[in-house]
Amino acid sequence: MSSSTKFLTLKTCDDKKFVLDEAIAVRSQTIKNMVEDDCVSNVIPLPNVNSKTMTKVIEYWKKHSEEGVSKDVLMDFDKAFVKVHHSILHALILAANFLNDKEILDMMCQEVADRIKGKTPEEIRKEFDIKNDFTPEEEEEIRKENAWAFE
Amino acid sequence: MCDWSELDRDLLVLVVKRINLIEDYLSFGTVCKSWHSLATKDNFNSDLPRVPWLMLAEEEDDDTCRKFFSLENGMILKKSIPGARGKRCVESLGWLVTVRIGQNEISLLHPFSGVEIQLPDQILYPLDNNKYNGPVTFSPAISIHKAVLSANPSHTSDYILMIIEGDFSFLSLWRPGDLSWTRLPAYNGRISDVVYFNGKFYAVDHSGCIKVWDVAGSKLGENHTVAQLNSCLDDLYYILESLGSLFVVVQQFVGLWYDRDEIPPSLILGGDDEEGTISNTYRTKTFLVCKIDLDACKATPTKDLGDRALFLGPNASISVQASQFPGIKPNHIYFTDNCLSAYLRFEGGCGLDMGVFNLVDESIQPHYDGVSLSRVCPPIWVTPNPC
Repeated sequence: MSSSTKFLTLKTCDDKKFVLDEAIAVRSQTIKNMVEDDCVSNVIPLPNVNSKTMTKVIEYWKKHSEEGVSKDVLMDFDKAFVKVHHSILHALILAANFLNDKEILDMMCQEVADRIKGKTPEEIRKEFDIKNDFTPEEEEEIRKENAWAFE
Repeated sequence: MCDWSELDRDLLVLVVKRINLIEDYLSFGTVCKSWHSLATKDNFNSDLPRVPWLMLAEEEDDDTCRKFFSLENGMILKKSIPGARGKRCVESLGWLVTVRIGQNEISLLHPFSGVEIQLPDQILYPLDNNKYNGPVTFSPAISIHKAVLSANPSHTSDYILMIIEGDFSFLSLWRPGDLSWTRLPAYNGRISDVVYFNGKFYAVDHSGCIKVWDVAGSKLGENHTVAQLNSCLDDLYYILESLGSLFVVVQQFVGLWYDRDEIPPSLILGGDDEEGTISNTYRTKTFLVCKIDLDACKATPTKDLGDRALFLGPNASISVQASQFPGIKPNHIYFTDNCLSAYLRFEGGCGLDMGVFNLVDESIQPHYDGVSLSRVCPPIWVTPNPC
């Protein structure tokens, strides 16, 4: 490792610290802006991200910063990366949004859209643990509004 | 802790914009109140490429409902479309141009939102008075062969609707605000297909001649020849854009002979014959595809469309990227019955000449297993778009 490598320390909301190569951490536009504006002290606080989520994000950043990784390997990595419980998907979307990492955000939103694909409203609720807050009458009304009937 | 219904609206919109299928979009909006409020017309991403649905022929016992067959998941969806009842329909960008048989009533109808735009019911020939005198009305039934929109009327009022119309298959155009159609002069018709490409309309006629019209220019009728293909009178020609290039597709037919026992007499051309055992109808034999090089004015035959699948028929001819859609085969042509002149000749209607053509081995397989026939509007491809 060359002596010019700079390290940043990120502190998540649950007080865990992550020491990370600056070149990798600036995949986050938010961190990059802070570094460029020179407002980085010793520790960068990430009040909206917990350590569990940050571990996932760093895992992604490191894999995508490795040299000599083939496209196929990265695709397989991405495929496995999104296969997580919906609560982690949710946390990753919030973290990617806060860190301003468009790549992760896009990938996660696509995964949510993919999980909706081909499902009935009830199956979607089950997949994402969403409470049906419609009355049966309201739900019937929406179905009529859509004016679609499936055979 | 993790509540998807409470997720920031801007973030949920990012998800919504990635939902491709209408049926998924409607399901999304039925999940909970907060998601329902996001599943609006504005949030529906109509820029995503979509595979056309097969709009089946009208069923006699069903007043206003039309059925749509989705190739992607084999589902059949039903939608009430009163505006299409009993009318001949051609399609472009998810819109239908509808004509009532025996009347001149023409409109531009959005089958899923129900929005209807009235169109002038007469064709005028202001630019070609030497040949024609005054307004001439559409002849009934087979009066509009194709329609092509330059842009989606859902998003802009700056669009051109080009149609192929009349017994001699002329090009006529209409823009919002026009009180009549403008038939493009200086050309003798027999147009087989037309496409809007890079700001111009390119058309192929029944002699295999490809021409271009720059409708933005001051002289509407001005056109020049781009390329000339070998021609055969009985062929149908299609022209479309795929991956930034123009393609012309030639559809060749064959008259098939059938055992009378297997085919209802109403479907057989020519009525009773003395022999009583066989009679004829028509079927697609093959498709030939040519890539058009606009710079060299050349048409080069090809059997390789790469990852593309084509959708042909009385709809605006389109291509889609097959790998994006499960169930769609690359390098195949999905076609519907387009022998307009034959529709009325068969008492039971047309719609049997449908299938998926494999460009490599030239085989034809069915894409829809049922039988859906009409003398007015046999099944056609309609690109689904809720708004």
